[in-house]
Amino acid sequence: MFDIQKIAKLARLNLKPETESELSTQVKNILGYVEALQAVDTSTVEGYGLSDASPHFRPDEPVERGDPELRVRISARTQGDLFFVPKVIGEGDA
Amino acid sequence: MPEAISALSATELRVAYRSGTLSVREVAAACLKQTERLDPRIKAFLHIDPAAVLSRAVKLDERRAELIDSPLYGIPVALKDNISTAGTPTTCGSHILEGYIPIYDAGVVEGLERNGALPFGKTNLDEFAMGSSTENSAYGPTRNPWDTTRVPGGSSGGSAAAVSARMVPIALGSDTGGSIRQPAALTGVIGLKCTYGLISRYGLVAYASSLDQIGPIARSVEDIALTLEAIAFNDPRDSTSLSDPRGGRYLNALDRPVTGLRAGLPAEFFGEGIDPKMRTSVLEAVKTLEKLGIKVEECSLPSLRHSLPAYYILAPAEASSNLARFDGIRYGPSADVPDIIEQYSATRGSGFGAETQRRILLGTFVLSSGYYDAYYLKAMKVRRLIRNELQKAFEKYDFLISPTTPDTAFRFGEKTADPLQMYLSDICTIGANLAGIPALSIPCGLIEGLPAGMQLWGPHFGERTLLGVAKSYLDASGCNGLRPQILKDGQL
Repeated sequence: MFDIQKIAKLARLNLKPETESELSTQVKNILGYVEALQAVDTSTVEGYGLSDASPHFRPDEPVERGDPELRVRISARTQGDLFFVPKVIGEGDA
Repeated sequence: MPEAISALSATELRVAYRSGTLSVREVAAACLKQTERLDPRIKAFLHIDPAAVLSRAVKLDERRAELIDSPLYGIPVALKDNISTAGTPTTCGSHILEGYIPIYDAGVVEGLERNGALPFGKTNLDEFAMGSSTENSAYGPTRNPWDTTRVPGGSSGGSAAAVSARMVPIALGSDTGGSIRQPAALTGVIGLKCTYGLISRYGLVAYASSLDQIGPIARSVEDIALTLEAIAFNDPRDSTSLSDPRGGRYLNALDRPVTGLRAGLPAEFFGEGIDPKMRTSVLEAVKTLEKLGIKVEECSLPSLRHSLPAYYILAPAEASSNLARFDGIRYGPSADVPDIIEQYSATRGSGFGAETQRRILLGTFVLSSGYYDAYYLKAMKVRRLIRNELQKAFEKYDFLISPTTPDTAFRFGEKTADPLQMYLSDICTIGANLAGIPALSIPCGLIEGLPAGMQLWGPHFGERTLLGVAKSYLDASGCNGLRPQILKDGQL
């Protein structure tokens, strides 16, 4: 069953408390609508989706894609030429 | 009168450039003037830099001898704001990308510039291209030039409105479930969703990668073909990019005879859920096609009834994955909190709007443990079923005909309370995205003063047939160049 708090946590979304109930109802309604697909007989359908073609692969070679400094500069928070992120490792993780 | 120049099609502008009666700078200035006049009411553009447009126009005038034979030399082209443009904001209509300025151009922008086009500004859209009205834009909605109390459709509503209001001759949109064709239909212009892979998605901010396609919106079929000449090329940076096995030459397709072509009229698009007046309008257009010598017969494609539910599993699933990159670390604003997970969640919670959050939640759920098979895999099977059924139909028919939308442009707020009602706006268009086939929306008249659109569906790489039929129909029907009300308003 759809549990909005569990799914929001998985999706890394802080929901506004005042919209949570309405969002939950709307998503449940949409899930109710798409449920109709369960009745479609797909037992004889071979393959999935658009194509069975193998994906294209690029050679595993370094490619120059612009100045790395510019990439960092578009971030909201940087330190020197690095992205700045909060500490990932907790006290007991070392 | 600025409109006199800005209302010229790209094809007409090419003639003027060749004869030397207009310069690119004059055209750019006229389009800017028209935008200045009308956009305060329409709100088609999110970002436009007039000085930069004029400066580029002057440079194009200087390169006239080199570029005059290029398909889009000197043609102003507006870009949907989910197409990356180096040095110009690209917000996707979202607060989460406020202030973001890409450091590279999308493949299509390179294609436009290589072919002499003049990038003109960035147009409004539903946030991350999720919507059918532009009401989901974080920067406010675009208004329909035919009636400013009504939506222009979406998600490429800004692009369609800019073309309809004669601010530019051509705009690019993106189409994941109808986002080029539906707004084109609601604003009385032409919109093409190409075969999946024909146009590079490199630099298009991804919503649902297996469905997204960039495509042109214009007021003439010739302009649609010209744009394809410039932007349909194989791009190795998009792993799904393909070369047209039929070799391009879209302009040549316009003169192809249509007599003897066979067309199917799927009953599923002419019954429940379609406004009777829309049905009548499209069936009248079918009579014109028959007069042109096209053999039209009714057919049935029952699996297309499952398009909408399949789409609302697959597209949100892909969106939930694609939009994971917006975490406040690399782009846009970032919540200032000491824990990284909380930083992601707070940034995303405040940066994404309601519809985007709804689709991320839906997509996360259908991909979650215990539900993946029942939802995602089942929808992938149904997608294959739809593709197979359409492929079989194209063994018998050269193209299919349907309305583009179930109704004409609706009023603001009419469908915002119930997402499912909004989703039904795309009921006629989603099947082509699921099957990866081309579909073209063309005007087929007015219903109570608002434009109606007819949609032509083709087999993979069937763009030429669709363009040829559209040209013949529009020439015969007089539905070319419909003028919206706002151009007739004395107050403007």
